[in-house]
Amino acid sequence: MLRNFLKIAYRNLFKYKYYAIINIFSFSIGLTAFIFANLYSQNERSYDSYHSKANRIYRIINVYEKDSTLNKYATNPFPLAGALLKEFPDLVEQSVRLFNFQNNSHLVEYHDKHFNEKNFYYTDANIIDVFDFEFVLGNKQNILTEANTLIISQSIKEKYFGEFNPIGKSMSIDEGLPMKVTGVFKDFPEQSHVHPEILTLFSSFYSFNKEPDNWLWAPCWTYVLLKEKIKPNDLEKKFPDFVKKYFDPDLRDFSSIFLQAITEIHLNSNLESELEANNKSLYINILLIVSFFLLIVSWLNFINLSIVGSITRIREVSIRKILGSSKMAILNQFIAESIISSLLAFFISLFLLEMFIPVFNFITHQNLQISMMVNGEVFTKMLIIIIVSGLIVGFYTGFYSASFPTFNLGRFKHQLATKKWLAGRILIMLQYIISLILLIVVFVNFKQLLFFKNTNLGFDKENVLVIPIANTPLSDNYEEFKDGLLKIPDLIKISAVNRIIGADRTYRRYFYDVNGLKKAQFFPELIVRHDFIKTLGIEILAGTDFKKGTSENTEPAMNELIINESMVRQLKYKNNETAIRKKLVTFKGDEKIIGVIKDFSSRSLHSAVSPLVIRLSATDASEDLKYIVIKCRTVPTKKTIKQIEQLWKNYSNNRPFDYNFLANVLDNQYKNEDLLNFFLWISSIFIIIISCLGIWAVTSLLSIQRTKEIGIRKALGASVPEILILFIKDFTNLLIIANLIAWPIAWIILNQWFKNFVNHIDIKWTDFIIASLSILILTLAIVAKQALKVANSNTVDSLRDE
Amino acid sequence: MLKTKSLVKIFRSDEIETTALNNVNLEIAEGEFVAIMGPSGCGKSTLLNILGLLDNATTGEIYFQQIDVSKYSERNRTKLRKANVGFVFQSFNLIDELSVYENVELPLLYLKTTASERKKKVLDVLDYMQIAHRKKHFPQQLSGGQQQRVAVARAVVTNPKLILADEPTGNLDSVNGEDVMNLLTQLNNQGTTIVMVTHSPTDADKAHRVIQLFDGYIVTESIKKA
Repeated sequence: MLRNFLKIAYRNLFKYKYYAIINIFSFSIGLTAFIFANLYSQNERSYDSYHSKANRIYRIINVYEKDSTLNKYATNPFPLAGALLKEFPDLVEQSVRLFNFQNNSHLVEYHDKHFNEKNFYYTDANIIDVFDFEFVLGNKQNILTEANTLIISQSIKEKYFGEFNPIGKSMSIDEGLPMKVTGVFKDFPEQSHVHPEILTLFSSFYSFNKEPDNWLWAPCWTYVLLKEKIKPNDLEKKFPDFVKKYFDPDLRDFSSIFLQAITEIHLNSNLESELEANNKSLYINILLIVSFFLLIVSWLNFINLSIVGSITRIREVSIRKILGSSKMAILNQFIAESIISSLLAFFISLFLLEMFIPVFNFITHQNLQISMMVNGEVFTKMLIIIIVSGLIVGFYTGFYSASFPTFNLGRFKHQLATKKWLAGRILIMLQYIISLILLIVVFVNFKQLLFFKNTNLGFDKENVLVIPIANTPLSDNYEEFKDGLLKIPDLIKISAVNRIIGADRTYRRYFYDVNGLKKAQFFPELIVRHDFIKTLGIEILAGTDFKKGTSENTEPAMNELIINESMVRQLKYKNNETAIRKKLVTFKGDEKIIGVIKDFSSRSLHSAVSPLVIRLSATDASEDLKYIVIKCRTVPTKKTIKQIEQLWKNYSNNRPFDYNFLANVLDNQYKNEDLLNFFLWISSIFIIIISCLGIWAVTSLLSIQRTKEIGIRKALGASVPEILILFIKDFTNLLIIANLIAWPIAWIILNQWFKNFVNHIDIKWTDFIIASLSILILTLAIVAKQALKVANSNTVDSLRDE
Repeated sequence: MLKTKSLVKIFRSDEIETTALNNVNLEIAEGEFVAIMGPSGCGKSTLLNILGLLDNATTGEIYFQQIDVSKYSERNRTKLRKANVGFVFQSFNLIDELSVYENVELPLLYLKTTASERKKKVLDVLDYMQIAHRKKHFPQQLSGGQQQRVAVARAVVTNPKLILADEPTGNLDSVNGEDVMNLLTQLNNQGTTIVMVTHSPTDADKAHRVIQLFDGYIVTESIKKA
């Protein structure tokens, strides 16, 4: 019997191959998208869980909250790790730190090879006990046991040593003492929130001077390994007392620390000074939801097209019934066919996966593999979906077809077109609703992303070059280098900063008076050289820019500040003008406000504009100079870049020359949004394609069913446009209802979504109209094509059709 | 009213070529009542469809009120048809989703008649056909005879010069058939030209002239009444 079913199913697939291909293919698109989203989610959620002690490793996060200021940092003071171990020996098994001097670029040299490396860290010797390191070279007993030794990743080994064994060889970091390589470890997998490549001990740097023991400077990423069976809460509840006991007296009342599971970092952490850009679990969930809807739409289509298919078989079914087939046998046959179809769809989607996984990996910088399906829950999920959808579609079409009458088929077909097709219309409407919501949301979200990228940040990011100079001789010879640069015709203004404007910043504590009350507060700060305001085209609202000659190299120079409007409000000055010549106090002494600038985003637009202090760096404070910023007249040509590099060589002592465009650096902050947006566009395109196939199926059915009616109307004098309108009316009605339902839902979703952004665009009704119109036009095109076919068909044949 | 010259109609499928009409020359005067008879498959309905501008001849010419319409586009044929020709079919061909009133109104809609005029004309014709009391009913709720009355009402509501009837009594019992034939005769008496395909000699008797078709040829023409 089963063989008979399979045979008939197989033959039917081929007989109606037109429907079958579209049916199976559109379902497989939905399946493929769903599998991709699930694999991606599985992968993103697996970050850092590869450590064998992952469930016991926590990062300490540091929260500072005072008045209206709330800052959350991923980093902590130097002594924290040791103090935690000392204070809670029953709870904490190990503690370990990572530190990079707050520089994400370090000069690494071996013989004639020298590169700027991002992933160099100072750390503690027990790092290899807390995190999983897989050593491929070196004796584990001697690894990281003494100062001035290094362990390096395999990529670094390849880069500097090629096939040679690096053990015992010396490399130098930032032109410091030679350090001996004692071990080579396998690169950390992509699924890690940090990718250390070169590690040395704190003692390599602090062997002569003592490690900082103050609780103010907080640059260390600090991790603890909890003892077995200890719950994070057991430790966390002791933190308030711990903070009171250890933290700096000025901080302890406003600071708190928390544990953050290492596996949570990648998706649920957006703190100041993250090690690497993280993703957001929200984005992953959105992808999952969208892919689920894509699956639903393709599945609705599967049902719709299957019904269309079954209607073409009315005659076959009625003959079977006349010949004595039971309803059950017909039902079974339909179920067998739809399960075969969904299995086929599944195999096609596996094929599509295999084909597109490299593209997907390229775009997401992931390393997904189909084999991941088998390990995770994705495969089980898929199998359940395949079988359940096969069963449901089979039952639905089976019951439906088994109810076909055995006589008067013509009239029955007509009834199908008018009444029973209600189900099909509802399915189409659901598809419309989902497509509309998605299209509106994607469209508005896309505009939001453009807004992020194109919004006036309050400074001019275009044609601005950023050259990292931290720890290079350039920071000592900056003024000379600058004079040289200014001789290059295309370069207009030049300055230097300690942080990339618009992306990052540091904090300093300020003491000030508000209404006679003494206050102390940490505020974001940028340390700059002359011409900073001009280089970035920032508007001065009151007072002046830093003046050359009067300020620099003299004591008062160190004591002049420019603040932004938000800072004026924070300090409760009446207006910008009254802020001028007011006094702020830092550990450097009294400082004077000389200018007020317009607010600009000193961090990504995800966050609100906050108070900001800009101070001038003294010429001897080379540690403040980490980037040179150059405003160019136009997009710098290769020749200009070459000229800069040439000049660089005169001062850099063979340091590698790196540069970047400020606009690119800032855009990079939105790469997760970019990716999300890309996926959303792809998904909506697929949803629309699938919905179009659905509409096509229904119109083709309707046109078959209405052939005779159209014939009569034509005989009575209906013109082609009049018949077109007849068809289109059906769908426009559906579309109007779908719009009524979709618009409010999309509006609610967008409102909720925008709560994630401090800065966002307004939701405009025109966006809704554009989305709706594009679907309307597509629908009209499809319906018109089908309707024209009927309208232009031979009237006589139509009338004869029974 | 109507004139054909050497009409030929050939149906082609993938493998078979069937000649449905062969060198048909015919003239129908205004106000005439013509019956076309012949065995099944002789080309009666094909001829009627061509005369009604529903179908094109393969070769030959057809004149409608002295105008050669053989080369008319679909659009122009539609225009000519909706203003001048009414159809009555054997299987009534009413639209199931439309009520009696709406079915009869349909040709007027396509003629872009104003709403008030439409209403008046539809009610008048329904009255005349004695079917006004069922105007809100749907075709399925009517007997065959009533359905054909509605179909005739629909055919005449535009006051066409020509009515083409394809076996109008074929699906009716004798009483209802008689009834419909009387209606057609009445219309003819009022000046409407009628061309009717029929199998029934009794119905053909009502016509002024009977044309016999056989295998696509006109074999005989007999004039019943002067």
